[in-house]
Amino acid sequence: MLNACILVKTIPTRIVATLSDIKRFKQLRKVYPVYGRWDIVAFMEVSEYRELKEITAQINAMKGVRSTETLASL
Amino acid sequence: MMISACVLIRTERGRFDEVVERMKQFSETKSVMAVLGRYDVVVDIEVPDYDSLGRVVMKMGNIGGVVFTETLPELKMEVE
Repeated sequence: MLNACILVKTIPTRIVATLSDIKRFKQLRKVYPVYGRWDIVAFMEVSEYRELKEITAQINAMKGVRSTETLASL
Repeated sequence: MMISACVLIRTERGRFDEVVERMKQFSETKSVMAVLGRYDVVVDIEVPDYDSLGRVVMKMGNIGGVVFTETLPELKMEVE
């Protein structure tokens, strides 16, 4: 299995909505809104990199998401 | 009511394994992983309050091999 930490930046009015959208991923291990340069931190567990790519693509396509940064485990 | 925080760490070249092991020894650590990308290690911690968060992150910053940390503390929201 492959773990990843996805950092998400959203427009302020979409933090709560994006949070609940992200909670729908079955690969989700943990997610919480944060202070600092990012707005949401999501921990995912996937079987392969391709699955991670799909997840980040879906998150980037969500309304109000400005950017994401994926930190994939070695 | 525990507060989570995501600690992003940059380590000295080639020392991320050592740092990962040391991070595992913190009782507050829920998960730790060496990662690819702009950071080398990511640690998810849980602490009872924001004061203890500062203490834990300071200790983590002093671990040998750690050169930079950026902490993203959980924003406790009423609506859950």
